[in-house]
Amino acid sequence: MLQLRNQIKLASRTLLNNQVYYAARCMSDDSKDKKDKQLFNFDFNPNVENPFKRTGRILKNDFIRAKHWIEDLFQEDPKQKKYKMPLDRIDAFIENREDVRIFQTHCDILIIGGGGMGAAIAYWIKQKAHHGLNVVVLEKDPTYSEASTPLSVGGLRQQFSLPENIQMSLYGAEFIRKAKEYLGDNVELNFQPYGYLTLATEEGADTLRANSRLQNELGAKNEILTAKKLKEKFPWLNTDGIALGCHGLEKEGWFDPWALLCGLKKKALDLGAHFIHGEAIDFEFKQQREMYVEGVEFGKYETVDRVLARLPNGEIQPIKFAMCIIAAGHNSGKVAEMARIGKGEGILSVPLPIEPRKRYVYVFECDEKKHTGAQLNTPLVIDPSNVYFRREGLSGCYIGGRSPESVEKEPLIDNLDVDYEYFDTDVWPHLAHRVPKFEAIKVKSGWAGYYEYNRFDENGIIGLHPYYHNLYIASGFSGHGIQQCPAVGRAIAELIIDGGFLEIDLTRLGFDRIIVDQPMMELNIV
Amino acid sequence: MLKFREISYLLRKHRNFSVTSISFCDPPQRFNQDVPSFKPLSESRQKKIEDDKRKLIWRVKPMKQPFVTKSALSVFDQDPAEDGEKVPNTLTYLTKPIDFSFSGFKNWFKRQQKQKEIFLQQFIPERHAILGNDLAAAHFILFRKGKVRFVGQKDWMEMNPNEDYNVPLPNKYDPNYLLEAIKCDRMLLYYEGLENIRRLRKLLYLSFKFVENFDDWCLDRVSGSEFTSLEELDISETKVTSNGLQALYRIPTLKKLIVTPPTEDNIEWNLTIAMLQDIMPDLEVISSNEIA
Repeated sequence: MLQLRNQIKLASRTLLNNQVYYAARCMSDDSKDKKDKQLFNFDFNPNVENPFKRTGRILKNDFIRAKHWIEDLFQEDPKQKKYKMPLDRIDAFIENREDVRIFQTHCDILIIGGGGMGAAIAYWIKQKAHHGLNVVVLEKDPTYSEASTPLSVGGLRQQFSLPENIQMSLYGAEFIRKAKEYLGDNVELNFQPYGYLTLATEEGADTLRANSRLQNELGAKNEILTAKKLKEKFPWLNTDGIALGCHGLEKEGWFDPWALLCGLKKKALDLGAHFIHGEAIDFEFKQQREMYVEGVEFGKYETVDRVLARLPNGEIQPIKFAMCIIAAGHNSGKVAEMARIGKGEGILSVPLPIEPRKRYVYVFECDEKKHTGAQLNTPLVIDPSNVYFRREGLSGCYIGGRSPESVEKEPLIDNLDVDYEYFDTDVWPHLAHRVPKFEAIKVKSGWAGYYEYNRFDENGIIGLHPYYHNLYIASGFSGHGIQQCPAVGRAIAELIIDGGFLEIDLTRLGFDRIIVDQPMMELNIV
Repeated sequence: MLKFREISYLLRKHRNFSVTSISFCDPPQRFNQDVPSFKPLSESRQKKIEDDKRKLIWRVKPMKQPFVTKSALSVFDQDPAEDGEKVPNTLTYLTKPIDFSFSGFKNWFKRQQKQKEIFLQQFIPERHAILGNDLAAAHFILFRKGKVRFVGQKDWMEMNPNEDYNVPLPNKYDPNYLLEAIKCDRMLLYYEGLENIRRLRKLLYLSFKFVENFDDWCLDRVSGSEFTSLEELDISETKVTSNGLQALYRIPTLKKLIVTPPTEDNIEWNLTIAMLQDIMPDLEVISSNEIA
């Protein structure tokens, strides 16, 4: 951690010292130099389809569809129709929506990563631009088995300390409330209005009060309760050592993140986005000698031009894009390294500080014969020791977990196995102290997921990369990304289409803060 | 944030109690925008954010460098977000497929009406500053053909449907008027409108019977609206599900709840009701089928 910060400081200091002033000639012109052509090598991909054959194949498909449409006009039996096939057949559903045999080799906007963020960005760009922009989303695992979105607890809260986080989650709450209007009538997000209860000791009491004031200023509704009032409202709580609690009154709770992801993806597909099953393995670069970028030596600028995607059948296909967005979740650091972020010189020597961190969520039950089961007045409680738990369902089940206290206690990230000893040593003592009836709980099961952890300041990095003119980053949300998906998707869409942030101003969360070393610390990370 | 013209327009309408037809041309462009989801920041916090943003600028844009002479073409190099103006959504208007069929036009018209209604129901801080919580909520409900009753009154008070809005209530804050009961039956009430009904300390009875748009989010908002003495809540024939009922733990003084159970026997519903009665032993849950 210290080494990284020194590395970042050194990189940014050299960068700021080497500001070069040149006359501004912003002509980006393809250089006719022969040496530039050598950058393109097609050795690995001898099976590029002949463009004439591809055109012929696409035209033939179009004519066949037109023929089916004309035949349908005279066909009366709805089950026999071919153009508008009945949608209960899965092959008809897919064929009717898009022709999967046409691979998108060129696109306007490529989004690497099709999780919550990627699908939200695709949805918003298509919502604003419809057929004007061709959007392709590259997702390496359509079952989302290791993605953070379906494995998340799905919390929605406004109890943050950074104004941008509060604004983004307020917008997320409104989006989730109106999900049926935005995403279609059959999207059901099952919002459960639990409320959040953040507890603080004497030392943290002032911060809690100041944060609550900021949140209420911005439109969230929560109340500060003293220890005595806490005991009245929540009799099962042990208020030992607690000075204040902040109880959310509206728009806080839990929703279904998988339903949100599916809703966003389906609506994006309806509007015409393309979701490709493939893994990005490398970028291809294009030299642009006439491009002037402040901070880069003139004549040496190279931009990302194509991405090489490995398809499930093993072949490697290049996809040309005009703009690329890295929304790859916990793999964003690796994808950024492919684009030389962190491995180059000057601006490119500052790496993208996003890495996967494994977090466990445990499902436990309270012994109902000895103590009363889950009661309805159990919001999601966050202890000062960072343990959190909430009620799950209506019959005595709870979900809880805790982030490790220090970097040394971080679990290994090579697989998603659950370590139950961690619960016994680090989680259960604090739980039992805070809620006396949890003395006799039994762990039923658990799951693990990755946080896309931002080592720099645990907040998202949103915006254009300072070196590239066509590479955007929307990643690093460290555990509170799912509630900010709609807001971030809209912000990136506004950046690309309207040229700046219109709804929520997220300039302070850009990549520049890493170069200038101005961390936007968030105090309420769970 | 509403502009001064719009605030004065709305205040004039409510203070003079005259229902002149809602003018469609004044101001129309706001009806197309959503009610914002968050309030603007205070001056000091805005200043801190501007300072931080200034520190983030570690290089100067080529066109904005001091020695570059401005040519006439620089008019095309405008940063709309920087200059503080809202860009018209030209790209969206140009590419959006317009539905020219008759049903498409009907749907568009319905959506416009709904947005206008939501805009008119939003919270106006000036109204509450002049009238106080109780009177502002009373005016809001009465204008929309609801019924209210104050502490010390016996009959329900409502707006006469044939005349202009002419209700015998003061138009400035009066501490003697405290709301005791509100009936919003069959009203067109939206989530944004519920913000006007908050912090009514003496409210005992609240009814949202047959309000179509009342769903779990609205119940979440009502339960967190700090009604410190609410005793009876009627949410029958609305879209509330068992998820929303879980929020009622925030009203510990509740004694009577009237709901419409789902048509089929739903175990989640029964279990939620049972658990509600666990933590609030005085609560009596009545099904609306038994009353009607």
